[in-house]
Amino acid sequence: MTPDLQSPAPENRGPLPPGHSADDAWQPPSQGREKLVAEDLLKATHLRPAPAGFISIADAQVCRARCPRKPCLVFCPSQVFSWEYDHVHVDDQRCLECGACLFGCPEQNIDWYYPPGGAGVAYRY
Amino acid sequence: MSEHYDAVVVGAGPAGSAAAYAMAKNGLKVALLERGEYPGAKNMFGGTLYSEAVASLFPAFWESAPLERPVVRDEVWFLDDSSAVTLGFTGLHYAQPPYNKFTVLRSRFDQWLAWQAQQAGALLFPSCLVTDLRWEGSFAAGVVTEQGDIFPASAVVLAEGALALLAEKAGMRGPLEAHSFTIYVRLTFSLPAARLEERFQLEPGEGADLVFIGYPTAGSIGKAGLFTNKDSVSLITGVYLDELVQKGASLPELAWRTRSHPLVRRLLDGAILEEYQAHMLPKGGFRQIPRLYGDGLLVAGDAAMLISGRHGADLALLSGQLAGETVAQAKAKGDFSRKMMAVYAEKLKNTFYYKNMQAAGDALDYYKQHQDADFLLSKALNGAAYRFFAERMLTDREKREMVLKELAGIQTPIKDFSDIWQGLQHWRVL
Repeated sequence: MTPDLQSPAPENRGPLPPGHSADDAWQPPSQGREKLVAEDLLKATHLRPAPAGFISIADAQVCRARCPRKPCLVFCPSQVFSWEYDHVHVDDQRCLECGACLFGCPEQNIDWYYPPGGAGVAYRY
Repeated sequence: MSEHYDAVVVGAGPAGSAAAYAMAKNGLKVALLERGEYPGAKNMFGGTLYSEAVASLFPAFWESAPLERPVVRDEVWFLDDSSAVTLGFTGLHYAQPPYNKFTVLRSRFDQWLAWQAQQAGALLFPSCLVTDLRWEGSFAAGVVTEQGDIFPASAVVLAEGALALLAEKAGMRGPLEAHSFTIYVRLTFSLPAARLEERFQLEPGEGADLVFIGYPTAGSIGKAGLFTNKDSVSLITGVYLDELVQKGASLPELAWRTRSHPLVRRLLDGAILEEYQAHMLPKGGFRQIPRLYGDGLLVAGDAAMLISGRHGADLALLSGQLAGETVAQAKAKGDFSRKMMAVYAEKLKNTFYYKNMQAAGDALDYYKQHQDADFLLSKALNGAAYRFFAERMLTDREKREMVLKELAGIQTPIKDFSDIWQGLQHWRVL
């Protein structure tokens, strides 16, 4: 049930990118690695299935045309958002309900409301 | 339409349950609505709860509340890649009544708190999501749930937490922005109590808090912290949301980076990840406190932006209690108008936390303008310490100059004792 995540010590997680020493201030990771981390961590959390649709992108065109950085792909702590070819894909079953997307989307293009009562995260700790 | 309540409370966290408790104790008919499957299902903090505040509502609560460990040791670690300069205090008096603070798991504690309200007579409705307020003219006259159920009431207490979406809908505040929030993630690892105590040098039952500055969040204002629970350890990592967005940083990555630091890793060796959580804290400060009252309406806890330094959950309890007492007074006078509800704001203005928030004002501005201040300070302290502790074949004078050179190489905000005091307040987690 609960994965043992003690193994990936830094030395097992691949070398630092070229030009980076351990002394540098932290640099944004290459896309993808943070997704793996969130993926592993999320396995430990109890999420009650919620009817899909409590998170949505208001206008897909805005992500394409006006938002080159697409920070939602990275700042969401459970990586609800991913880029699929030409649009932001939403996986609301991973949502930890922190609400960061409401305020973090630079275009205010994410619609979010709480999942229905009793659904979603059920923290045990 | 269901029956009429004297008050409905939105959210069974510390603010909501304390409000419901205060009202029910005064004989009011109270509905306490919680969107989670149980109180605490959606809640997370570092964290610790401060004894004095809780005891002011529930004397000797430690005899019955589900607490983890009374904290006897507090440490701040200025972390660099391979070293740490630490500041700490261990006080064994804190292991005895009336204690100082306890580590707490919110999923358990919040249930206990709601139970206190229930025992006083409040009715708890779990799995109940409120989507709207019900209005009668300018008066909040109850709430509407996602199912369309109506809870008519003479007064509504909004204790809905950080996002305060209903408070916004009700016009109590304007829209919030990314810089008004810090966002935290929390990794909780199980570790048998005996091993935990040995590892953190604790006697059975004692607890410790460690705060990590510098390394975990590197160039952002943020921090990490480690809290010992009964048989688990929680590691939190957090930063300002606007910086997370601007810098393209990932919190799970930062948290895992903290977890993997050679000095942190050894504290968690063999511990197994049990849960990953995320939550936001409203850090807008004094200027962003919303309107606190309206006709038939009060706002308390995180929804009211009542976070002062590392005080949050305790202020939710205290403000919830004041809100509850105000509604009880209103009921006694048969007047729920804003004139009556203003008593709540008057009471709040005399509290230590409101005064602290007022005095803090722009204290954070320095750190917002110098986002790497902690990182640079941590680097310099560790560089100086490496030189200070190195046993070299040098004269004392040569050594002193090396250490001073290391410290002079950077600009720190610290100039005198009051800066150190501010720094200490800033560096403590939650």
